[in-house]
Amino acid sequence: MIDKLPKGFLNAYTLTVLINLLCLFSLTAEAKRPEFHLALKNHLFYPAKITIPRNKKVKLVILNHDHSVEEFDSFDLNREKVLFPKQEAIIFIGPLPEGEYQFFGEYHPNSARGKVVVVDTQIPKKELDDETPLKEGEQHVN
Amino acid sequence: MLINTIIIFLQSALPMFIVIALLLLCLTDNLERSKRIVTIKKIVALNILVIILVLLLNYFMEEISQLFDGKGTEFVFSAGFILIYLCCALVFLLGNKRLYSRAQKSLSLVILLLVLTLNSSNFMLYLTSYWTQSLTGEYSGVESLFVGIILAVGICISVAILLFFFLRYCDANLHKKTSNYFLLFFALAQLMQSIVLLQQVDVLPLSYSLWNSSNFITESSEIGQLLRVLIGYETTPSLMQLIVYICAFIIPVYLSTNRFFVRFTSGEAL
Repeated sequence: MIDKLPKGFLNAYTLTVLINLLCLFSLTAEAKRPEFHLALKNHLFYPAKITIPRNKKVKLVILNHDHSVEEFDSFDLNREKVLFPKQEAIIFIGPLPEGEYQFFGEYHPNSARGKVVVVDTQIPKKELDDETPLKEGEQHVN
Repeated sequence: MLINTIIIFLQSALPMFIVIALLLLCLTDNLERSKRIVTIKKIVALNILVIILVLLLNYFMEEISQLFDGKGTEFVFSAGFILIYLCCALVFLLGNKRLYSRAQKSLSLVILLLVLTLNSSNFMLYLTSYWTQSLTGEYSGVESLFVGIILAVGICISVAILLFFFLRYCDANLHKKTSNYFLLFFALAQLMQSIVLLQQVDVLPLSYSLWNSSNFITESSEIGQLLRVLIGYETTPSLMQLIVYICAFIIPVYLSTNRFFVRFTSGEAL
């Protein structure tokens, strides 16, 4: 049976299976990541402080409410991502040791600033409460 | 505004000026210094091509960013950076052999095209954003933008000229392949960028950083930025980055010293 298969079929087949398995693994792994949300409005990040657990990879979803392009930049986190107007951008950060990691909007570095605080708890409940969605007229921390 | 323009322009343009200096050095050996490497025709054609590509990339960037569950930009840019590494590694391997001077020139044009396009697109986004905001009255003072660009161009040209003469001196007095090694380090810096981009979207595994050298040189400092472009300096590298860096350095260096490869590139094995 196998002998009748065209030459190279097995290689192509194995490759396809491997790619599918990798995709599946990647999707499963991604689905398990804790998710944190960040919003950009009037060139300010809300919340300006995000608390994440220590030694854990997390998914950061950033929504740009502004009408202009911004670039999320962080030397501490080693991340750089263009945020298009009214679009969502996703980046993954961690695992990180305890500490504070600054980030800023590269096009408006004086106003768009914030930090990721890594703490030694599994679920930083108190801090998570602060990260509730942005309300209209809410005062920014910075 | 002025400072911000200078910083963003430097981040985008410094790799372009540095790669031009490195390629000029790598494509000339001591005997060919007086010979013209590139013609005006090629420079004009390259510039037109880069402008078209940058405009296209800028126009479709938003759509590209939404591809593959929002990972499109990372995939496109990391593919470009990997290609830059491969081309630079080939230029390094072919060394100063005249037999392959034509191939080296073609590879150099590909490197220039990619470096100029990928880096210019970042600055174009900033320019577009600035113009959009100035039209809505949010920003004013276009002169600070132009002054910023002029100052940044001045800095880039100065750095490139200094690097060119420093490496030319090193090539002549220390080691004849110093500039070739610097080109390889530049390529590694590009490769590191692709690793970071792929880790950012969780395509490559994220892991703990091995050390933190921010107490010595921070990445945000001037020297940190220069080292980042020149050798791919990272304050907090991950294990994967370190492994890829070492392998990507050792393989071309090993091949360039390998007896069979040296014979092959010399034309003896052909």
